[in-house]
Parts: sequence; structure tokens; C-alpha cells
Amino acid sequence: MPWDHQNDLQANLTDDLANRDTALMRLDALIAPLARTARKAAGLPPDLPAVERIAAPAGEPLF
Amino acid sequence: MRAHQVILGPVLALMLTGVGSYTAAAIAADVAPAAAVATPWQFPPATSQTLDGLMDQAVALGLPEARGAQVWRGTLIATVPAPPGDVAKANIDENDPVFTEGITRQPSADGKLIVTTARGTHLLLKDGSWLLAMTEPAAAASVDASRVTVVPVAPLVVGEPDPQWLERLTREFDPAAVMTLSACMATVAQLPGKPEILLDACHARRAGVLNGDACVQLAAWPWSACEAPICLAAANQETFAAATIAPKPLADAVRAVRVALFAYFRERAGTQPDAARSTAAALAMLDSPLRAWGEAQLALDASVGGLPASAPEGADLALRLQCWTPAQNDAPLVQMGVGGQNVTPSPLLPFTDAELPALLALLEDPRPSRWHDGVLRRTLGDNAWRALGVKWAFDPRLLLARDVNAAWTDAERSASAQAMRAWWTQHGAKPFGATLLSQAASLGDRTLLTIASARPTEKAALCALLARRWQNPPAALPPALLAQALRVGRDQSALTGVIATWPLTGHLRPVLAAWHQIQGDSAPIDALWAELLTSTDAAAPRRLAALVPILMEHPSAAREQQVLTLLRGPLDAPRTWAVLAGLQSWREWDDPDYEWMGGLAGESNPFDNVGIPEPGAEMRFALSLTLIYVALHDQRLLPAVIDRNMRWNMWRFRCGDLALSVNASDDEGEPLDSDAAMPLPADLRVADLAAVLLVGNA
Repeated sequence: MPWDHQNDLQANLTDDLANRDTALMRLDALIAPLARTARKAAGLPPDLPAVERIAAPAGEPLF
Repeated sequence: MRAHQVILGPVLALMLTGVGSYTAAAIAADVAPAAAVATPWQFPPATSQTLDGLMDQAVALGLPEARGAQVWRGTLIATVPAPPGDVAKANIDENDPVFTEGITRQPSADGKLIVTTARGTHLLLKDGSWLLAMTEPAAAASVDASRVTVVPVAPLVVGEPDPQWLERLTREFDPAAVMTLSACMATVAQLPGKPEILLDACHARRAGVLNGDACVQLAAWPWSACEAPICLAAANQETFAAATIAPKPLADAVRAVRVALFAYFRERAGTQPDAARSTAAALAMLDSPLRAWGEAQLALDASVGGLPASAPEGADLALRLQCWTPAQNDAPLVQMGVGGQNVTPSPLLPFTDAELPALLALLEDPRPSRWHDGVLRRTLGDNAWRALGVKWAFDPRLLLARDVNAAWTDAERSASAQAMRAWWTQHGAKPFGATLLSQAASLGDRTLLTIASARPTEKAALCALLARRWQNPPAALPPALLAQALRVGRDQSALTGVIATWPLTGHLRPVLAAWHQIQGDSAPIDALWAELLTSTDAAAPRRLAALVPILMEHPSAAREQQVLTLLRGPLDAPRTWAVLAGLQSWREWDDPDYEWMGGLAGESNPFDNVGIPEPGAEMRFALSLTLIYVALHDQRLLPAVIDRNMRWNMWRFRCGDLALSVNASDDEGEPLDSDAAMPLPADLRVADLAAVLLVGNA
């Protein structure tokens, strides 16, 4: 994980709910493509299990 | 084995509620957990009186007085004017004798002040001054205590024990006492094995903490065990750890405290203006025969200045040994010195093969050497032992059937030297490797493995010998030792072939199943997993959690469905928690029942290199990333049944028998704000925990 993301997330994860959701969205954007690539390499179906989307806090840019 | 269990007082009952589930799990490998019944462990009255008298004497000679002190936890900042002149000297330096882990010191921006930041446990002394990190005195006026909290005596005993420490302790004490003592000691110092914690423990005892006697006894243990110059020469730290965990008698706490107080005043003699007074105080802490030892140490200090920095060309063997100091080098690692200090030796041995007999004659030589292990000034003889260990790549005392953890007294030193010379007289004329093999039958399994891992030339023969011994699985074989054998002998088909025939039953079943999986046979793990899923055994969730990392490493669609089903189960069920606990890095895996796993499978952090996957490594992360992805979207609140708090840089959770620790910071060892446990927000969700798992492990 890039260091700047990690430091950013680390601060957010102990914060209030909106900030935590922002951190979760960033992690989601980071992890989903990696997970798909890894699944393909492992011979698993490429589609990730269905999940409910995280609602973005208003006005919060992803990155 | 000493039994100290009697009746549980109400305060202890409270404490054991906090740590009982963890410790019960931790000690399960070798000793069945006893009923949670214990009283604070206490010294016999005579020992207690001797220790009190020693501390009275030390306080009269200048040791800070901890009697009546308050115990505080957190970050203390002390500010004092910088000495005139060279401000740079104020920077903390690891060679500074007062350097203490937990204390940092730097000049203020304008260079006029020295700012000392101390984290951990502190004492507010009765006179209003402080003992920062239980070590460094600070005047009341210099201290900003706004970030510390006072800790009442009773909660001080609640702490997370260090698992490896615990495992060693289980062989010494009865389990109920271990629960009490380990929790207590771990609060005084997270990492036992450092000599300075013995004085911390003495201060804690004098301040009146519950279980103060136990603190001192536990802190005294590594002192007497590790004074020998070479505890072990081994290929790696894991081997060292496995090879040195062996039954030992309780340390002589009075002797250890005497030595610690001697070391305290001896340090002061080097840093304080009243050197003569401090030197006298140091000697006053010792009685006969330790007094002679102390005088010798001080004489060594005084005379080492006459040695050259390095041995000149053509120097004789004795001078070469005197000047030989440990230096950075890749191999082999030699563990040596008080407090388990890791030092890698000089690549150049200070002797030739032809000089080996002459070296053996110097094993008891009391002349000083330049080797100072941080606490003790080592003699020429100690350095000769170290050189021999580096030459052979293992502790030579293993050949002599001597306890490598015995206190390194004059008598032990002399007996070991005589035995070594006798061994050489008998075997020295033959090639060393052949002699080693001819003696191997008399060596224990652990010693065989230690030597096999350190000596490639004899490895095959030693593993073959072990294979002959292990035609049937030894009934009391510890799982960690089996894992060590599988790791050391992974290229030795004679050994692995025998182990492959062992039945997958009993206490070795998890390690065998994991090993079969690594070999490509998934059936044993799948069978174990299926059995644990339906088991009513209270330990089943913990065992399931231990298998999760292996399933992650060897993904399949069926396994994905099984772990996803568990993960989506009720959050107050330990089986759901098992999946989350199983996702933590093996580096954080703190269950001694399964500590072998990381070693067996290598660096098996499921999230290693998530950002920059190595070619071919992606499949290792397929399941762990999928589970984290699902958990990142799980908005369910963690139920109240889940214990959660933040301590240092870790989030800690506990559900029933399962503990989960996650790094919440990339800066290991640095507390976020305070090292006191802090409650986490009440609205934490599975998603938040998954995020911390990912961020902390990435």
C-alpha cells in the first residue's frame, strides 16, 4: 500500500463515521482491482462477491 | 514445578477476567490450564527481607526512592536548560549510558532547552520528582504531565503477556500462577529479557504494586540465564528461540538484584562527578562471592583502556582475542550476552585452526576484552568461547551436554572450560565433522536440529539420524519442534519421508495437515476444517482461525464459499470472529499453539506486497483480498460482546477465546498518543475493522 494512502487512512480510521467512510471508499477503490487480478491468477471466478455499495459522504472526492 | 495456587482475591479475580481467556489459550500447548485460582506469588519472608534491606541500602546510596510513589502511564515531557556550549551533545545517543527504550531526547528549536519525551510507565516519587520510564530522574518543575494518567495499583497488573515469554514460564510455574505473573510482568515491561527491567521491577515492588514480588522474580529470570557469552550460535532467530526454551530453575532473585544494582551504580560512576562514591556504592551492593566478581568487572573497565582499538599486525592470540569485538556481518548469527542481545560477529575469526588448542587454554582467561555486551565487560576467556561458537556455528557447550542457559558463574565457566578441553583431548585429532556425527546419537532432538540448521555439511546425516528416531512420532513432541524439523529438513527426504507416514491425529495434527497442504495435498486440512466447523469444543473457533491463513494461501472456490459463509454469520459467534482473526498477519499471530505456522510456511502475511504484487504472487492474495473486500462493505456494528481497545499502535479485540491484534500504524513501536489502553468508538463496524486489518498489515 502506498505510504501516503496508509498515513491518510490511519488518521481517518479512528475518526468519525463520515471520515471513516471516506477511508473505506479509498480502500475499496484500491483493493477491488487487485482482488480481481488475484482471483484470476488463482483460477477463481473473476467476479467479486456481491456487496452493498458504500455511500459517499457528500462532496467528498475519492482521491 | 512450584505451586502457589490458593484462593483468588477479588482484585485478582477482576484481573483474570481481563486476561484469562488469552492466557488460557497461550499456555494450552504444554500445560493444561488450571482453574483460575491463584494468589499473588510471594517470595519467602527471608528473601523478601533481604531484598528490602538491599533496596534500603541502595536508596541510602543514591537510588531514587520508589516507596510511596504513584504509578503513572503515558507520555511525559521533561524540559531542562541545555548545557552551555555544544547543543548537539544533547541528542540522545545509543551509546549514552542512560539511553533507555521509551525515552527520546532532543534540543528545542532554539537550542536553549533539552526536551526529553518518555513513554511508558513512570513513577511520581514522594518528593514530587519523577522517575521517567521508571529509569531517569526528572525534577518536578521540568515535567509536563498533561499527557499522562495516574494508574491505580490494581489495574497495573492487567496486561497482555508476551507469548514466547509465557511459554517459557509455563515450564517453571504452575499455570495459575503464570496467569497472574505474566500479566503483571508484561505491564512493567512489554518485552522481558532486558536487564534494566529488573530495576524497574524492583521500583514497582517498592512502590507497592500488586504482585511486586512476581515482577522481580520474573525480571530476574533472564539475568541469570543469559550471562553466558554465547547462548547459541544459530542460523536464525527462530531456531534460537526454539532451542533455548528449556526447563530452568528459578533464578536467584537476590543475586540478580545485587548485580542489577551493581550495574546501576557502575553506570553512574561513568557519568556522574562522584565516580568514587558510585563505585563504592556499586561494590556495596555485592556480597561474597559476588564481591570478587564485581571488583573484577571494575578492574576490567579500568584496564581495558590500555588495549589497542584493534589488534596490531603480528599480535599474539591473547591480544587478538582481547581486541575482537562483534561487528556487522551476515552469518552466522550468534546470540550472546545479557538480555538476549543480538550481535553479529566479526567476519574474521581471531584464530587459526592451528591455534585452536591454544585458544582452549584461554577459555577461563580473566583478562579484559574490548567486548562489552551492554551490561557486562567480557573477559578474554568469554571472547574465546564466542570465537569457538562462531567457528563451529553453534554453541560448543551443546557438545558437552551442559545447560547452555546455566548461570555463567566462575564455577560454571571453569567446569565448562575443563569439559571442553577434555572433549578436545579425546576428539581433537579427528576431523570435526566426523566427530560431531559420532556423538550425535547422544544429543537431544532439539540440539540435533539446531546443529543441522547451522552446519550444512552434517545436515543430511543429522536429519537421517532424526528420521531413525522418529520412525514413530514421539508422544511429547512439541508442534513447534516438528515445524522446525520440517523447515530445517525440507530438502531432506529421509526425514520428511518418515514424517509423511505419521498419522494425522493428536496434538500434531494441525502442523502435519498444514505441511501436507504445503506439499500439495489439501485433503488433511479440509478434513480438519470440516471437523472443527461442527465441533462443540470451546477451542474449535480458535483452531479454525489458525487454519484460515493456510486456506488463504491455497484458495479454491469451495474454500471461498466456506469462509464467506462463516464471515457472514452472526457477529457474536466466535466462528464468525475466527475468519477475521485468521486474516490478521501471521506476524501478529500471538497464539503459541500455532506460532509454528509462520515459520513453516515462510513469510505468510496474507497482505504482503498488496500494493506491488510480485509476479506470480497474486494468487496468494485471492481469498484474503476477497474476504477483506467483502468485510470492507459490511456495515454491521461490532456487538458489545466484542472487547475492543487501542493500546500503543494496536487495536485489540477479543471475542471469547479469540484475540485479534492489528497494527493501526505503520510506525511500529510508537504509540499514537498514549500507551494506555483507550476505548475505541462505540460505532465501529466490521468494515472499520477490515480497513484496519488491511492498512495495518499492508
